[in-house]
Amino acid sequence: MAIFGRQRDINFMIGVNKELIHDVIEQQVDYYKPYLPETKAKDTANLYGEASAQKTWYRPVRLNCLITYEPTTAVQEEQFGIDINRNTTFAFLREDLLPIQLVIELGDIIEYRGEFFEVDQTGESQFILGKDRTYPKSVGTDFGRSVSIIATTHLTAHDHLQINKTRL
Amino acid sequence: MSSVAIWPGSSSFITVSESFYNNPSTGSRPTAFGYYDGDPVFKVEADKFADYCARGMGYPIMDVELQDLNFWSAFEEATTKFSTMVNMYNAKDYILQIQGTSTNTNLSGRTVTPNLGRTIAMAKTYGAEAGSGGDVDWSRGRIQVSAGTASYDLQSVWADVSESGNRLEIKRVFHNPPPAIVRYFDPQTDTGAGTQTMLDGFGWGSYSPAVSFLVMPIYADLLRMQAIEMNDEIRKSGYSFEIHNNKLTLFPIPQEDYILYFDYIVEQDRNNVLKESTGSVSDLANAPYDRIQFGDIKDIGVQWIYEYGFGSALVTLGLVRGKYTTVPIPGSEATLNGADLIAQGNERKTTLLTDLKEILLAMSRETSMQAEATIATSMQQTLAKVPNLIYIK
Repeated sequence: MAIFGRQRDINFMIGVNKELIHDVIEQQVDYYKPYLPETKAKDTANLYGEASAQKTWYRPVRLNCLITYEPTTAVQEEQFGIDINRNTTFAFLREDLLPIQLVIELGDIIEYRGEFFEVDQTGESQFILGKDRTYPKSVGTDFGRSVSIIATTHLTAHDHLQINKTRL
Repeated sequence: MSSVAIWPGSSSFITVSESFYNNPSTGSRPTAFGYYDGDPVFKVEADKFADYCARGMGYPIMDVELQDLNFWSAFEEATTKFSTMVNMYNAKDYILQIQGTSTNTNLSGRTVTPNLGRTIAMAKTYGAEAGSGGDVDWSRGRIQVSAGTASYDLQSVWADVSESGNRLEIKRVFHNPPPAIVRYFDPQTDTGAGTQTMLDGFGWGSYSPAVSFLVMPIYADLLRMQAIEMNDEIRKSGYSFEIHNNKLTLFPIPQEDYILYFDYIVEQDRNNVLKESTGSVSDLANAPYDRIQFGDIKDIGVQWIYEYGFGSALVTLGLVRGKYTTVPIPGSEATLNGADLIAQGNERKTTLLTDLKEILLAMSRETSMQAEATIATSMQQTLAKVPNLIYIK
């Protein structure tokens, strides 16, 4: 039986995280999930079968996270000319995602500073005191907690997404 | 997830206190020991103190990972510390006066009037040795002295029989030469009153009693007395004795049977250290200084308590934040300031304690008397510079 890392300790650490992310650092993004019933890939798909012409999204959710915002890099495409990219990592506090039942998945879109980033990869590798209470072989549900979900993204053009800012 | 236990921004000591002390009891005791939970002033000030500490720790800008119970316990600790320090220094100052008094009388907040009782009690041990007072009983024993026997073991002859074998210390032996008067007036003989011999001895032999007198200076009597005593000591057998290990040897060797008296103490009586009754003050541990209630402490002490309590709360917060030096945050980790808080809190407490000790020392009886003497000397020096009046006739 572990001694350290019970519920009180976890609550304390989550509290520190929330204070840092919500009150001290306070970096915010809008998170878009695709609304699949309205995303018509069948009729408007491109030649690759992608629903590039009519993507539909749920209304975005505003989330706090920690952002690793890298400089833009120029990408030389032989066929299409020059493009730019910006690899950016968004680290979300898992406790923020649980109440709204948001699952970070590939293909989701994150908007930050008017730029749209498509999630390429998700990672979950930070655990309080190295334990995850959801893991059945763990020491018990009182111990450990997964802290974060980290989304690795790339910059994508908003005209591909059919997301336009409009003034209401 | 359950809510994070942090300072919510306000507290109600009275509510928590009533919940705990009412029947049925619910919730937690407001303070760790509950020393002041019934003190109405403490009840009101506890919430203000919690607010004071939380604001000092950064609330509402920063979260404070403490709850009302933590603040109130720090408040209780500070109050108790102040009370203990004041009482300790008072007890130290007056321990000589209060030793031996009843432990049932609370001296907190009372003025102790110094007296010499304990000093005299301590001096009694000297009196007991000198045979002038003291607190050890002197007893009188006697032995049958036999003609021709000079040595007697008082331990076996007397102590084993009359003092349960306890060790004696002989204080006085009544073995003296017969007084000079017996040479002139011996009621045991039938040679008459010997009045004429006595008068001759005093130089009055040539005068007819009650007819003629000669006025003599007093020193003539003194010289005559000295002459008689010196004659006894030098020319007659000396009456003396020696005692070694309570074995008495008489000089001269007794020529007849008689009873010899002696005074003694039982060593066990003198060595008895428990002469005070039970329930009396012996030392700091049972010095009857009860905790001073917060409501009885005035502004100087109250401010000290606030600051010391804040130091305690800082240490507590430091311990909370210091349990884990670093906390994982998404994609990184944050280092907490637990060690800094503990250091700051302890430094604050140490400084306040040092200040309080210095003040209490400065107010001790000894220091106060010294200060008074210094002031008196200075006043005299100042007054000495006042010009004297000149009277012109």
